[in-house]
Amino acid sequence: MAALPQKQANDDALNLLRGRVIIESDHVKSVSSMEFPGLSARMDTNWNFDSFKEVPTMAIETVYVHNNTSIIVDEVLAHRLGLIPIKVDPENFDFRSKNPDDPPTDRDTIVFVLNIECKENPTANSNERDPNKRFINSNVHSSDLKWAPQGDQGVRYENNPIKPVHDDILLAKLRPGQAHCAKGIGKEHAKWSPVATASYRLLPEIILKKEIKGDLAYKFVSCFPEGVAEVIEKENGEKVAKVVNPRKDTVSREVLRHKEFQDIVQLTRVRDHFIFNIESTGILPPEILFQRSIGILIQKCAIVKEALRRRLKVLEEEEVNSGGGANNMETD
Amino acid sequence: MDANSDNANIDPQDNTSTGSATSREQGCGNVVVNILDKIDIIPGLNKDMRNVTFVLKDEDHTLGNTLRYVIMKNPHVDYCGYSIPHPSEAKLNLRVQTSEKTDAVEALKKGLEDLAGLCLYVESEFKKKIQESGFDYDPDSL
Repeated sequence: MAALPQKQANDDALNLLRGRVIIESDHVKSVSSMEFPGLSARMDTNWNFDSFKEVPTMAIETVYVHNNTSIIVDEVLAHRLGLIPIKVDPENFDFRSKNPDDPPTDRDTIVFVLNIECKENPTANSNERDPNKRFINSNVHSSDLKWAPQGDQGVRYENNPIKPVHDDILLAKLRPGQAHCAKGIGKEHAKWSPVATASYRLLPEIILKKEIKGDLAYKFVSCFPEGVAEVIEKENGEKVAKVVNPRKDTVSREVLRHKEFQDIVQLTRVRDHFIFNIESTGILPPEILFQRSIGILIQKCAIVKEALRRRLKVLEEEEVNSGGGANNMETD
Repeated sequence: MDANSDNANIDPQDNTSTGSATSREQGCGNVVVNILDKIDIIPGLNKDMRNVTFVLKDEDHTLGNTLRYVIMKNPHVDYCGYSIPHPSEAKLNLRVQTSEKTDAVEALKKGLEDLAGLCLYVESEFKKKIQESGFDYDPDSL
């Protein structure tokens, strides 16, 4: 990765930002990392923490308990249900109406039914100690939440039935009810947050002020995680240390503990190179999350712009109505 | 997405009844402020609108800080700052002071346009990159 010229960043940041978005191919299944050299810390902070909390997901909101004889009390069970990530694209649903009198509909609500009973296993040995063998349904898992399609939901999600992201989330060590799922955002409650973690960091930079040769080179390399630095052989056979991939550095600053390196090694960060990490809960893939959070920021801009336009119009009308009296006001 | 009038009604006790859905409010959250109340303009002493405080309702550091940064990039803006006076009041004060070449309203407009443009650019670049470099990304999977 070429070092980015930092001085330019101050010239005309907006123009410079364009054309400097690079995405490193570092995609591990459902976890992806993206890099934005040239972006400011502010922009990143916003995608990072704030926009994600406004990307909606579906989560269990209302739990109707018909008969719960388990040791887990209703409210605790309801809370546990609320935190289960539900695999369904929230784009297809509306927010629930703010008016509590409005009935839920198939466009804003998903219904799950949890009906499970624990029994003695008749075929188990009477001395059996393992509850999994001695009882039937001794553990309630997220897979026991059965989706009850409403309206045309059954048709719309025929090929992609709605279910919890993971089937093996332990809900309770036993017993029953029904649950309603509503669209919400993480800002209101963390259960609606689409991300497990979202973070960014600056690209670490390791500057060698002087060449590090021979045995010291090996010592230098050993101060970093594997792959950060290497010992290479120069044309004249001399062995020197070289920083290969500062991205892998954990920024432990181990190298500065050694006196011999203190004056020749400088640890810093590339101020405008961001490494962005989004870990999804599994409901939406991180690529989509990222795009939706940008979309939300764009939407915010549009809303404020429209509000500004209307406000100005109102002010103008007021001025006309007041017969331009405001113009006579003396100002300093 | 508009709610259709022929949607099935879900009753907690009885799942068979049907009813009509009311129209849903637009916006990216549950809390929706009337667009007319969204922004207030508090002009400074001078009438030329060069020094203005905008009061944005129901916005937080997401927009405040980003907008502040983008507006400050405008060479005709002398000062831009924001504050959220109280955390439990969804209110954001954005102060913009400009040189004679523009006014605060124009600067805010430009800031909003620049920010949206920047986002659009990042989005399109992101889409392009993610498609060409062979991630296991399938936009139709959802």
